[in-house]
Amino acid sequence: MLRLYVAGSSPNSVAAVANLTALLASAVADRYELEIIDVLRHPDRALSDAVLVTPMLHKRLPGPACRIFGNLSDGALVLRALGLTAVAE
Amino acid sequence: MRTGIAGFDGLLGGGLPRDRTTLVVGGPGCGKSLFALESLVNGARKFAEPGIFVAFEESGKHVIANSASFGWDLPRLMKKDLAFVDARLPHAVVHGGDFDLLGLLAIVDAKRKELGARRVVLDGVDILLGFLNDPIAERREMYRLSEWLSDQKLTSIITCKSDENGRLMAREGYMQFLSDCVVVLQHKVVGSLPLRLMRVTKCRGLAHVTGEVPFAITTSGLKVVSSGVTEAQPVSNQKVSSGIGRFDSMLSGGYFRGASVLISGSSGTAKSTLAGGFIEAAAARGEPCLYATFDESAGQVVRNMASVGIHLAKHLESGVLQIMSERKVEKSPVEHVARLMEMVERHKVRCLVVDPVSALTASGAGPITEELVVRLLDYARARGVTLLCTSLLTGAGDHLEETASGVSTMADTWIHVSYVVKNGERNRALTIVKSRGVGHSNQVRELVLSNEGVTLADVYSAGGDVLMGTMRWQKESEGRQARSLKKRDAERKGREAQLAVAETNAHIATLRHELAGREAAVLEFSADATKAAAEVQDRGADERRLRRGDAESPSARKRSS
Repeated sequence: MLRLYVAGSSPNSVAAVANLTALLASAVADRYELEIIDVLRHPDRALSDAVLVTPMLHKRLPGPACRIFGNLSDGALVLRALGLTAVAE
Repeated sequence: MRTGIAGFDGLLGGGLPRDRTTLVVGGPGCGKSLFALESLVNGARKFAEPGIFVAFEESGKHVIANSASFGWDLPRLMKKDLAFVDARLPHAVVHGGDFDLLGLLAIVDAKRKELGARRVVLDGVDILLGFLNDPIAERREMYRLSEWLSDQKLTSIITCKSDENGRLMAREGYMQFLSDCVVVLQHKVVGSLPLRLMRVTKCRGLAHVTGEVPFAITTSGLKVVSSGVTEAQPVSNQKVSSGIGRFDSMLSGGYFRGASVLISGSSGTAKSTLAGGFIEAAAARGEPCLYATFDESAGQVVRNMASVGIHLAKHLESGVLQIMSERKVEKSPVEHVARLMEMVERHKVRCLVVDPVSALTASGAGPITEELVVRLLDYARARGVTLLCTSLLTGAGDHLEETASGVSTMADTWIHVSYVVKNGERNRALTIVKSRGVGHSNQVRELVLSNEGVTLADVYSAGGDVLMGTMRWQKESEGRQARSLKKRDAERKGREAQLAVAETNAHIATLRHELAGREAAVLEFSADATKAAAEVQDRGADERRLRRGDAESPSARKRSS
């Protein structure tokens, strides 16, 4: 279960959405749940989750929660952080 | 934009540049967050400008708890004029590519719209930058942030840690260029006492005070030790009584209102008593006044003054007089002065006594203290407060008339009290060293303390020597004796003359008596004579009758007559 915070259509946010969906499609096919939140439209969500930096990816389940910020251009790093390396290989 | 921080806005000629970014840098515990928070609180409380506090370092709850002692009532302000954004960053975060700070902007923007905020604080931005750990991106984002804040008409204060000397980490150096105004705070220890300094190193488009200015954290917030007013009070020609009648006439009427008076002298020369007289007179006129002492407790002051006929207790009760008693070792001189200024402002003090001002300079806190006293004098003058400082001179007797040079040159009136030891006695001699703009007596007077009060006695000079104490008394009593002798003499002579008058009167009475007697005798004798004549006539007639003689003959008549 993943949550991606983006800021409207800023270049980094657009890139992050593209990078993440491509990555997840190749790694875990459709066995994931992704919620995309636009902090420009929902600043209260950004506040409650302390999302100051965008884009920001929260992994909530399974296992240890983790956060990755940035446009997620380094696919290997993102997968490692999400604990998905084994699945990808 | 006015921060409302006591004494600060004056340094920048009115406040921080509006709609711009101000960077506040300083080492740990130097008051950065407090500075930022207080300017937000003042904005909300005094200037109807709501604000947002973004805390990267502490939780909002901590910030609120830490500032509870300042009496700002944050929970009430937070209902509509103040928002805290808890922006602590999570620890386990992976840096995965290029990023921006749009999340932060979205949060601030939402709060801005909600409150109608005009002020924003980003507290501990170094934490955010450390978290991002990407020098190029963070620089770009900070520029974007500051531009955005300015576009939204938000005046912002960004705090950032530095080393002890106010230098930023090399990587954060660009922050100084990004900001329109930079305030460096320092906290150091000088001679075992803390010293806080503030310096405006940069302020685009505003003339500002560039030097280091001391400040303190008091019970109501930050207090910058500066005159705090941009326009000084007009100079007054009014006179304020010194509390001692004869002394007023020496000063042709008293001290000038708003003047600074320095009373110097060694220990026990009745400096405090002179100060007490001044303050009692002020309180009796109903002027709010403050007596700050670093030597005694308030109770001691009242008791000791009462012993020389200066009664402060009733003025203390009515609230006209405040006594501020501080132990000089407990706080730094800057804190003392800050507290003093706060009291002056709170009670609208018109007459102020600092007893002794040397407690501030002799604290071993280095050269800053002398400057501090000069600042205090300047502050009082700018506000039209009549300030009387006593200054202790170490050493006794024929000490040179020396005192902290800065103070004595600044002071408008300088009174020196010294001991004159002669003929086994120690007497107090008072001189007016200088008094600007006032014709003053050049005479040395003896200061006499009794339980009736303080008086100045004339000093006799005899053979080039000034006579005091017993010698003066002797001279005086000689004079008195001579006078009384003369008086007695006159009285005696008067009595003698009266006696003579009485004697003469008695004499007159006796003579009158005698006269009356003699007059009576005259009358008696003349009566006898008539009677005798009558008898002779009768006898002649009888004889004629007896002799049956002729009618009365002329010869017979002649004989009998």
